[in-house]
Amino acid sequence: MLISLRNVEKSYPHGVGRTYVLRRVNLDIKEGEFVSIMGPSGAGKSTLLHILGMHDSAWSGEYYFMDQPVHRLNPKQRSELHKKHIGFVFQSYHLLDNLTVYENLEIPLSYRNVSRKDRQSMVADILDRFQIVGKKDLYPNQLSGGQQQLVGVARAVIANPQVVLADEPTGNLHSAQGKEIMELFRSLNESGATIVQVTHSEVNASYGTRIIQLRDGWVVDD
Amino acid sequence: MITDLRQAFRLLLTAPGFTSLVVAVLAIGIGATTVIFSIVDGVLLRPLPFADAERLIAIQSVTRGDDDGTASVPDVIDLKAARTVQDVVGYTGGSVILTGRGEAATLLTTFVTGDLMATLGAPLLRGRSFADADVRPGAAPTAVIAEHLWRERFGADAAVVGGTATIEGQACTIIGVAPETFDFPIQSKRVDVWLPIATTQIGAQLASQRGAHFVHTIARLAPGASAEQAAAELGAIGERLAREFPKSNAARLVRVVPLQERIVRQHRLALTVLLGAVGAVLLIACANVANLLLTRGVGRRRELAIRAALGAGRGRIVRQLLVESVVLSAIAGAVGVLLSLWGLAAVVAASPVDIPRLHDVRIDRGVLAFAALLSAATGIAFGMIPAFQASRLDAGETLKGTTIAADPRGVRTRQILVASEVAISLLLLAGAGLLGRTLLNLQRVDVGFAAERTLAMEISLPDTRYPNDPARIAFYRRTIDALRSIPGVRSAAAGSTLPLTGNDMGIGFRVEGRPVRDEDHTNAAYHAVSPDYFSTMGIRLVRGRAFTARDDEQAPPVLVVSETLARTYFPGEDAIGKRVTIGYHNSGPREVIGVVADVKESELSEKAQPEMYAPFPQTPWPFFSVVVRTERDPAARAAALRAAIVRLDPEQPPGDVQTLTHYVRLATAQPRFTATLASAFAAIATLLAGLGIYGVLAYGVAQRRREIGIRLALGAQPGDVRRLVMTQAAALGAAGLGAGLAGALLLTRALSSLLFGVTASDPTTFGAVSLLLMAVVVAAAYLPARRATRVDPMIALRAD
Repeated sequence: MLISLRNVEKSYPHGVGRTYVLRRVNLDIKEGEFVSIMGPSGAGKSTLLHILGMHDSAWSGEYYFMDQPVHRLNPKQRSELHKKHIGFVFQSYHLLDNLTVYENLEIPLSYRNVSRKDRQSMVADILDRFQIVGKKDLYPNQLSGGQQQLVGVARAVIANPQVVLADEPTGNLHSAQGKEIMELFRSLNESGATIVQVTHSEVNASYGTRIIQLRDGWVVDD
Repeated sequence: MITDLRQAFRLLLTAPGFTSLVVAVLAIGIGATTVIFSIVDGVLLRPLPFADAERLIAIQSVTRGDDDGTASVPDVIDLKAARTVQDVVGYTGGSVILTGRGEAATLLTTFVTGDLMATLGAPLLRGRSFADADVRPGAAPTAVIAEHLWRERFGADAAVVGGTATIEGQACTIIGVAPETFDFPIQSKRVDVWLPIATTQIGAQLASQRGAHFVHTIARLAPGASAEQAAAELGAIGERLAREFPKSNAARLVRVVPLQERIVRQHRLALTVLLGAVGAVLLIACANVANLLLTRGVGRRRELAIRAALGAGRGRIVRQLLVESVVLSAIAGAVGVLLSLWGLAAVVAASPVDIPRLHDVRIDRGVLAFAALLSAATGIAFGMIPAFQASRLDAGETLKGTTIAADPRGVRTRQILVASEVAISLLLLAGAGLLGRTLLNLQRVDVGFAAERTLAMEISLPDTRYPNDPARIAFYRRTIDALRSIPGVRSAAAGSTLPLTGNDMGIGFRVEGRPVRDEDHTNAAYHAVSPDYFSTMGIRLVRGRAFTARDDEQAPPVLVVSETLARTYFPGEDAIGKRVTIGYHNSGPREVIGVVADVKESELSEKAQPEMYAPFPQTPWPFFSVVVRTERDPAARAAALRAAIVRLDPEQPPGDVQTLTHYVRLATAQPRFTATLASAFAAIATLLAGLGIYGVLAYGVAQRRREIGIRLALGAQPGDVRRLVMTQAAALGAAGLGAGLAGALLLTRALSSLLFGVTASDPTTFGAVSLLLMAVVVAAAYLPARRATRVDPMIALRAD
C-alpha cells in the first residue's frame, strides 16, 4: 500500500474543548490511483491533503507512507521522505515571485542536493516536456494563471515523485486552462504517478478513478 | 550556496529601500566600531615597533602616591648590576639649540644615559649608537640624529657620520643617524636628536645627584629571565638603595612594568570604555536590523512556506536567510570601512595630542580583517533570530492561508529587542552623561591663574653662550624689558616653568629649625620667577608681599609659598617670616615673604599640591618661559614676541608661542575627547532605539487596525486609542529603563577613575538621562499613536 491512514484526527483547542477538523480518518491509497477528495468548504479536504503531503505534523493517529510509519518519524525524516516521493501542486500556484520560471523549477532539485549539471538537464527536460522553454526567463507575474499553474505542476513533478498531491489545482483557472491541467494530470497518472487531488469540480473528479467524500472532518463516502 | 547568494542579492535589489536602511544602520555601527578598534589596536594592542618588544620593561622608581616612576642617574647606574636584565638605560626629554645649519632651530631631544638603540634592538641607518665612553661625564660631545633632521639640515650628506653639528653652541660629533622607522620615546612629536645626558651643563649637574629623579628607565629582560625574576631582583636593589641613601631614596620602591603597558596605561581605560560604547551601538544596530528582518519575515512567510513545501528543510531555510543577512552585513561592512576611513581621520584630528602612536593608526590589513569578521558576525547575530523564527513556521497552515498574521512569538521577540535597545541606550547615555559632567566640572575648575589674554613662550639658553648665572640673568632681564616694550603688552614676566604646560619641576625643601627625618617627603612644585610673575599670571597674593626688582641676586634669599604649602607645613602658624632651604642652588635658608593662591600644576583634577616660588635672579635656570598679558587679542602679539627674541640674540631660536588658554584647554583634551565620542555613540544609540520603538509600534498599529476599527466602532474616542499605543510604548520604555538603570549602576563603576566631581551613580545624571530617554520613547510613539487614531472603522472592518 502506498498510503495508509488509521484513525487520523486533527483538532484545535477551543475554549475548554476542542474543535475537530478531521475525525477518525481511515484511508488506503494504492500506487497508480488517481484519487479526488471532495466535500463542502470547511470539510477538512485541504487539511487532509497537507497531512498526506507531510506539511502538517500536528495530528494524531497513524500514517504509513510506503510502509514507513510517518507518525513515528522525526521532522527531518519526514522531510526526507516527502522530498523523495511527493510533489505538491497548490490552488494559488505559489510560485516564488522573485525567481524566474527556470529558477522556480530548479528549486526542488536544489533542495534534493541534485548536482548543478543534473539540475540543468532535468530543468531543460521538463521545460521541453511542458512546452514552456520560451517562458524560462520570465517571472511569475509575466505569466497567465494557466501558465503559472503549468509551471506549478512542472515544479511538482520535476523530481519524479511517486505521488502528486494537488490542492484544487484548477480553482483559479478558467475552464480551458483547467482542462489542460487536468489532461496533464491524467497523462502523469497514465505514466505511473499516483495523483491525489482536492477538488470541488465533478468534471475534474471524473478524470480520476476514485472519489473520497469528506463532511465535517469525517469520511462519509469512498 | 551560489544559488542562495544569487537569490539573496536579487532579493536585496528588489527592496532597495529596505536594503539601504539596513545597510545604513549597520554601516554606521560597523564603521564606528572599526574606527575605535583601529585606535585600540594601534595604540593598545599592537606590539611596540622594536625587536622582541615583549621583553622590554620599564623600571620605575616610585614613591607613595607618585606614579611618575622617574629615577636618578646614579640609581640607573646601580640598577645595571641586576643580572635578570640587560641594557639598562635612562632617558629624559628636553630641547637643544642647533646652529650653523641654516636658521637656528630648537631640536626636540632625548637625553640618554647609555645605548638606547641597543636596548630597543633598533639598528641605525648610518654609523653607531652611544658607547659607554660617550656617556661618561667629561666625554667628547656626541649625537645621534634622526633621519628627518639628516635630510632637512644636513642635505642627506652620506659623510655625515664623523662630521660635527653645533648643538648648544658646542661642536658635537655625529656618530649615527637613526632611521625614520625608529621612534622613541613614542610621543606626539618625533625626536630630532639623541644626546648623552651630560651634554648640557644642567644635565651634567643633575646626573650626578642621587636625589634628582628625572630619568625614565628601560631595559631588556636577560635571556631566560622572567619579568617576575627581574622585578624581585630590581626590587631588592631598590631596597638596598633606600637603606644606603635614605635621604633621597627612603620612600622609594623599584617596580617593573612591561614597557608597552607604561606607554599606553594612561589611555587604556578611556579607549576600552569607548570600544565598549561603540560595541553597544553596534549591538543596538543589530537589534534594530533583526527587528526589521522579523517584520519583513512576516511578509515572506508565504515564500518560506512554499520553499518548505518544496522540500527545504529547516536548516536549509535558516541557511538561506543567514546568507541574506551576511550578504547585507558584508555590503554594510564595505560601506562601514569606507566610513571608517573618514571617521578615523576625523577622530584622530579631534583627539588629544598626547595619545601615543595615535597618528600612526591606519586602517590596515589587520583592521580590515577585523571589519570583515565583524561584518560576518554581525550578519549572523542579527540574522539568527529572524532566521530561526521564520524556519519554525507551519508550511501547511501558511499555505492554506489560515495562519494569523501576527505571530505572538515574533511580536514578543521584537518587543524584547526594542526594550534591550532602550536598556543599552540608557547605559550609554548614563556613561556619556557622567563623562560630560566630568568635563563640565573640569572646565569650571579654578586653575589659580587668569589664562585669558596671555601668551607664553619657552626659551632655552645654550651653555656655551650663556655659560653662567650672570649671563643667564642678564638675558632674562633684557628679555623681560624687551617684551614689556611691545605695543599692546600690559605686563611681562618669566618663570622657570609655567603651570599646565607639561613642564613641571619638583624640588625638595627643609624647614629651618625642624628635625629632618629621612622618611619625610618634603617636595614641592618649584618655580623661579620674575617680580611681575604673580600679577602677570593673575595669581592672587593671599598674604605678605610678592617679589620686587629689589629681590635680586645680591638681596637676602626669599621665597613665596602657596596656601597649601603654608597650611601643610605651617599648620596653625603664619608661614610669613619662616625660613626654608630648597634643594637647588645652594644659597642657604630663604625667608618666606608671601603666600599665594594654589595653582593647578599639571592636571585640572589634581588636588592642590605644595608650591614654592623663588626670585629667578636668586635661582637662575638655563631655560625659562616668558609670559605676557596683552590688552587685546593675544595671538596678534605672537610674531612681535618672536621678533623681540631674535633681536636680542639672532642665534637664539624663539620657542613655540601659545596662549595660556591653549594649555588650559589642552588639560581638558583627554576628557573632552572621551566625553565627545561617548556622547556621539550615545546619541546614535538613542536615535536607533527611537527608530526601533517607532518600528515596533508602527507595525503593531498596522497589525491591530481591525481591533482599533472595532474599538472605534464601539465608541472609543481617539484619546482612548492613543492611550492604547502610548501605554504599549511606556511599557516598552519602562522595561528598557529598568534593565538599563540596573546595568548602568553596575557598569558605570568602571568609569570611576575617569570621573571628576561626580560619582559613578550620580542620581542627577541617571535621572536626567532616564527622562531624556523616556522623552525619546514618547516622541517615537507619537506618530504611530496618531496614525492609530486616524483608523477609519469602516475601511478597517471592510478590509478584514
